[in-house]
Amino acid sequence: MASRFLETERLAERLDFLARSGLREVRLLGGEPTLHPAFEELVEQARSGGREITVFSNGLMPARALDCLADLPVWQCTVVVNVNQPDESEQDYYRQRETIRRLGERAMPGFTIYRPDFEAEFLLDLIAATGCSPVIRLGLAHPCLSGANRFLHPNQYRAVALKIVRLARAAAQTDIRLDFDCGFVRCMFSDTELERLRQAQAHIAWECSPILDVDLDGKVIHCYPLAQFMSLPLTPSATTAQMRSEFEARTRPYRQTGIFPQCSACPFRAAGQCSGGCLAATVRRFRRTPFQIEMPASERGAL
Amino acid sequence: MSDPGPIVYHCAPTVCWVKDSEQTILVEERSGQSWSLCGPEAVVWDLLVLKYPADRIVEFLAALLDEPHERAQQELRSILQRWEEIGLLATGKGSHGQSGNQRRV
Repeated sequence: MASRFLETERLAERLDFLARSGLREVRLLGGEPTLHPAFEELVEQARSGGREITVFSNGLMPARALDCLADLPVWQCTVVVNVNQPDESEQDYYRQRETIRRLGERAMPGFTIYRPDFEAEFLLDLIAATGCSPVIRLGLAHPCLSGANRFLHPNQYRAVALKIVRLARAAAQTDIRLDFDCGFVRCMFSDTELERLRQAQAHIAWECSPILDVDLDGKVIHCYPLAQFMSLPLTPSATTAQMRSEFEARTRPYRQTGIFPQCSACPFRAAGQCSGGCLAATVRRFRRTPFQIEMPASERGAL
Repeated sequence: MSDPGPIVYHCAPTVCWVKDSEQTILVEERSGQSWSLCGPEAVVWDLLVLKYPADRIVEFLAALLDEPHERAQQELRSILQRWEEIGLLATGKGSHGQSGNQRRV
């Protein structure tokens, strides 16, 4: 049975994988990576040789992990702290806020939209009060293939788009920028709204080209939502370019469409300007309905 | 000469499909092969996955194409044969619910 935590000696295989692929950034994610009992050791290994690290955390980290990250040079460490709405758990929010304050510029608040009635304006006050990076990493909650997780249905994208534009404009007034994560689609915004996002310096993207993850068992996955859909073994000669190419080949049939029925006829998708949204949400649209039909054989029998 | 009996066309459980605004896309999950259906073919696919029997599909096709019953039946037969040729369907000799995946000769 696999350990709940990555064995520290297995990190070297993953660092070799990055080195072979010419990558200088190490991303640590979980679960909650800071709960690893040897987190500080992992961080030291990961950043050795001048590599940059990015940690994806919920901000509710043990004090020793926070001390470790807060001592790293700002250029070498980014901690994306996914912050919940304060009304979801007020106590957690104040702990997250304190973590972000300690990390200062190393921290970048992340906000994942799970529901159409989200409120994220509180992040502007959070950034002003903590001195963290003035960038909000904004994500849409995407479904796992099973759909068992909490996610935002594509039919709700239009509703959240209006609130995103409002947030971007408010953020721009205090020189805060929105940074779109994967799975946004162009058609969720009108042309006027897109112009407003650009004026607000938002980093908008319509991509589904995730950074590959390596799980605890050494399997390389396309991304968390597609973990059960496909994986490749992390071999001693594998590179990210090879793996991306393999994943691209396997997913190409599904990329003919996107999260909406209109995607396969969309000129922006055809021109490569929009991915058609999250591939996991796209794959979930496909159905499996085996059938059989009996045809009288008289004419065929004569053939 | 004995009656050859009906032909049973099967769609494998590894074929998945999605209905888009202008086409139906089908993917064979193991091979990665894919197809795009439009027009009457897409309609036939819709009815097949709804488990309509051949005579009802012929009725729909006759109305859709404004053709006599016999022409619609021939159209359905042609579509199924074409899908068999491209590997989307397999055939077996039908016998009241028996199934198979061998090409009929």
